Amino acid sequence: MLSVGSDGRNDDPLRREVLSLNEQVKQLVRTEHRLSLWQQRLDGQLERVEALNRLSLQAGEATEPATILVLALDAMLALFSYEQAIAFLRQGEAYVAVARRNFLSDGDGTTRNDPAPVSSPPTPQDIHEPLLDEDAPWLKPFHAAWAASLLRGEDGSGGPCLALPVSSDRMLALLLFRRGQHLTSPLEVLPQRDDLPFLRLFGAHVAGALRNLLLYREAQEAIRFRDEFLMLASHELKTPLTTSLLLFQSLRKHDRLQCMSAANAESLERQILRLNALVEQLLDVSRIRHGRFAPRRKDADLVQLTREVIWRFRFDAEQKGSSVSLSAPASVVVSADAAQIDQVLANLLSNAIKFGEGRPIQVNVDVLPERAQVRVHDSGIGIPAADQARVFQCFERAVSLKNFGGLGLGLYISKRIAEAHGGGIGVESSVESGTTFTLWLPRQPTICPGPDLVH
Amino acid sequence: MRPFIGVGKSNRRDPREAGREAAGMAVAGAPPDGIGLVLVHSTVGYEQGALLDGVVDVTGKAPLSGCSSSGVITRAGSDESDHAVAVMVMGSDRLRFETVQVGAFSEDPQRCGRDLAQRLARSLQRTRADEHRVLMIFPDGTAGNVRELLRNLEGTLQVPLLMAGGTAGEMLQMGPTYQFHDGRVASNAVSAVLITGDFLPEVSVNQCCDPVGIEHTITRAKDCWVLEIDDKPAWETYREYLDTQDASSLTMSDFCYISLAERLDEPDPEYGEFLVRSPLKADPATGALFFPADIRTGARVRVALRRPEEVVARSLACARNMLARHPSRHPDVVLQFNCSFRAGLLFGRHTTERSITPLQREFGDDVAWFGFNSYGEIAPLAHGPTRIHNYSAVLCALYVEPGGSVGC
Repeated sequence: MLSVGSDGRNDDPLRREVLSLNEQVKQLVRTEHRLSLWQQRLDGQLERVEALNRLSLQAGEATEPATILVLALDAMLALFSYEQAIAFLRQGEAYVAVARRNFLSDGDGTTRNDPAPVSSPPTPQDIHEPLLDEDAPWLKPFHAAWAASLLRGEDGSGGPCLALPVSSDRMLALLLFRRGQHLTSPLEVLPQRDDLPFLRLFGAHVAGALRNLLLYREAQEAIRFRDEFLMLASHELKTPLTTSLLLFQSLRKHDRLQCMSAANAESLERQILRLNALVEQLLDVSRIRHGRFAPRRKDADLVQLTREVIWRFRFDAEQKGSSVSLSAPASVVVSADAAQIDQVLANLLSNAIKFGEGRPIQVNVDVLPERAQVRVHDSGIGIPAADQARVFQCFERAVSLKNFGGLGLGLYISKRIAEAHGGGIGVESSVESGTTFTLWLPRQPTICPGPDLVH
Repeated sequence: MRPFIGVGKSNRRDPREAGREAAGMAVAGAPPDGIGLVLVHSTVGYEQGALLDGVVDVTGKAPLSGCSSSGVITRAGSDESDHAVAVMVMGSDRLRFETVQVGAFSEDPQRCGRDLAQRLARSLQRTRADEHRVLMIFPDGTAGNVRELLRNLEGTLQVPLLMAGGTAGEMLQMGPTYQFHDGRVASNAVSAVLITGDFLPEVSVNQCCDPVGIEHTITRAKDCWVLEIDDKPAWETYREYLDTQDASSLTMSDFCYISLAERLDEPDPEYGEFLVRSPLKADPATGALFFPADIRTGARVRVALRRPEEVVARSLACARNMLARHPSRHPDVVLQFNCSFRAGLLFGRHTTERSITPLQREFGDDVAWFGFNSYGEIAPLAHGPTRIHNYSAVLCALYVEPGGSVGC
C-alpha cells in the first residue's frame, strides 16, 4: 500500500498517480458526506410529512375538536422533545383547556383529560404565528406556574417553550409546549427558527382538521334538515291533497260533480288554498335563496295593514277562542312592500293564534324615533330560551310537528322580508307565559343591496 | 437455586423514582436473597447519585456496577433519550460476583490497570480450573487511555481472563461521564465486575467500517491525542475528507462520519484486517484529535467509512458464529455493548428495528437482553489481547443454566 510519507516527497510518477486517485477518493467521500447530511435532513422532513399525514388521517376520524387537539399534541411530541403540552380550545370568546400531556409527573405521559395545571392561555390576545419563548416574554411567568404545579422543586425558569396557534381567520385553538430542562441528547430535537414554516404548516393542518370537523357537522345538520323537511313537506302536502281527493272521488262516485254543495266546494277550495300557501312558502324560500325577493317599496300604512290582517284572521281566532286587540295610532306610514309586510303580519298573527292556547292576543303598533314596530303578544305555550334563535331558521320549529302543523318556514321568510326592508324581527318569550314577536321597520326608506336577500 | 436474571427500564424524570422503577422491574420475581449482581446503565439527564440511590433502595447491598451512556439497550431496543435507565440483576448459586473500581484513570491508566489486576487476583486464584471467568469493564470514555489500561491489566493478571465491556459515555456533548460502583458514583474512574463460576461466557465483536484511500502516517501523538498526520495538524488531514471547514464547528455528526483504520498485525477472520479508531473531539487551536483508544506515533492508518448496511449483516454473522459454537445450548442473557456512533447518529429513530431487533431475533425471544451505547467497546479478537474498538458491537452471551435459558 502506497502512503504519504513524512518526508512529503511525491516525485515518483506512480506515487503522483496514486495521490491523484486519492484526491478523487477524498472528493467522493466529501460528496458522500454532503449527501449523508442531506439524507439526514430529508429523513427529518419525511418524518414530518408522515406525521402530518398521520395526523390528517386520524383527525378525519375524530368527532370532537378535543380529540383533534389530543392528536395534534401527540404528533408534535413525537417530533419534538417537549415534556409537557396543553391544548386550549376556543369556545365562544373563552379558551378552555381540553387536552394535556405531561411526561414529568407520571412518567408515561399518557394522562388524558386531567385538570390542566393552568386553565387559561397565558395571553389574552390571539397570536397568529408560532412563537418560541424568546419571542414571547409572556410565556415566562406561565413557565413558572406550569413548573410549580407539576414538578417538585423544578427550576421555574424551565427549558424551552413553544406557543403554536391553530388559526383560521381567527385563533381556533392554542397549543403550548414546554420542556422542563434543556436538552442534552443530540438525538432529541426541539424546533428552531428554521422550523417555523413547518410549525405554521402544522398549525394550518390542525386548523384544517377543526374546520373540516365543523363542515362535517354542518353537513350532517343539513342532511338532518333535509330529511326532516322531506318528512314535513310530505305530511303537510299530503293532508289537503288527500282530503281533496277523497271529496272529489266521493262526488264522482255518486255522479254529483255537477251539483256539488256549497259546503263541499268551500272545503275543496280551503284545501287547495292551503296547498297553494304551502307551495308559495316553498317558492318564497327558493326566491330568497336565489336573491329574487327584493321588496317593491311604496308608502304603506302599517296600521291599516295590521287592521286588515286582524280582520282576515278573525274567524281563525274565534275558532281557537282567542280575542285579538289592537292598540295603534291612526296611521303609521312606512316605505314597504305592502304584500310582503302583510305576509309577515299574517305569519305572526297566525302563529299567535296557533300557539296562543285560546287566550287573548294583543297587537300594538308603535312609533319610535327611528322605527315603527308591530308587537304581537300571545299568552300561550311560549318558546324555551334555547330554541328562540332557532325558530328563525329554515325548517325549524320550536314545537313538535305532531301537535302543530306547518313547514317551519314562516318565521324564516318573515325575518328575511323584514331584513330586506332594513328592519328585523325579534322574539321575547318564556315557557307557559307567552310570546311577543316584534316586527320593526325603519321610518326612513332604507336601501338594501341585493346580496342581503340571500340568506 | 435456579439462576435468576431480570431486566427493568424506566424513563421517569425524577432520578430516584426512575432508579426505583427500573430496579423494581428487574427484581420482580427474584428469589429472596437471590440478587448477586446489579448492573446499571443510564443516560445523563439524571442526577446520577439520586438515580443510584433509587436503585439501591430496591436492590439493597447487592454488588453494583455500571456506567453512564448515550443510550441504554434492553429487549425493547435502544433508548437514547435524556432520561433512560436500565437495570439488570443476576443471581445464581453457580456464579460469584466481585465488583471493583479504581480512580484517577486519566492521570495514570497504567497504574489503574495494574491495580485492577491486583484487586481481582484473590478471586481469580480461588477459581477452579473447570470454572469460567469474565470481567465486565466500564472505564471513563472521555478521560484516560483505555489501551494502556487494558495492556497493564492483562499484563499484570496471572491467569487468562475474558473481558467485555464498553467505556462510559454521555449525550455526545463531551461532558463528564460516570462510573457506578456499589451505590456510589465516580468520574474519571474504571468500574468492573468479575463473574466467576460454573457458566459459559462467549464474547464476540464486529465492526462496520471499511478503509478507503491511501495510507497515512501518524507523525505525532501523545496519549489519546493525535497531533499530526502526515506532518500536518491531524484536523487538516481529517478535513480533506469532510465537507466541513472549521474544526470548532464540528459536531458528533461529523466525527461519526469518518474514522481511522489501523491495520491489525494479524487479521481476524471474523472481524477483519483493521481496528477502527473514531475521534470524539477536536482541539481547534492545535488541530489535534482525541481518540479514546490511543494511536501511537508511527502508526499507519487509512480513512475508514461507516457502512450502515453492514451493521446488521456483520452482527448477525457474529451472532450465528457464537450460537454455532454451542449448538445444544441456549444463552440466558446477552449483553450488548454498542458503539454510540452506530445507534441514533447512524439510524436516527430507527436504531432498534434496523440494528437491535434482528439481532435479538437471532438469539431468540426468551433471552434476557441488556447493554448500552458506549464511546469505545472492549473485547478480545480471536487471537491476541483485549482491545478497545470503535464503530463496533460487542456481544457477550452468558450460558448459566446447563440445559437452557432461564428467560426473563
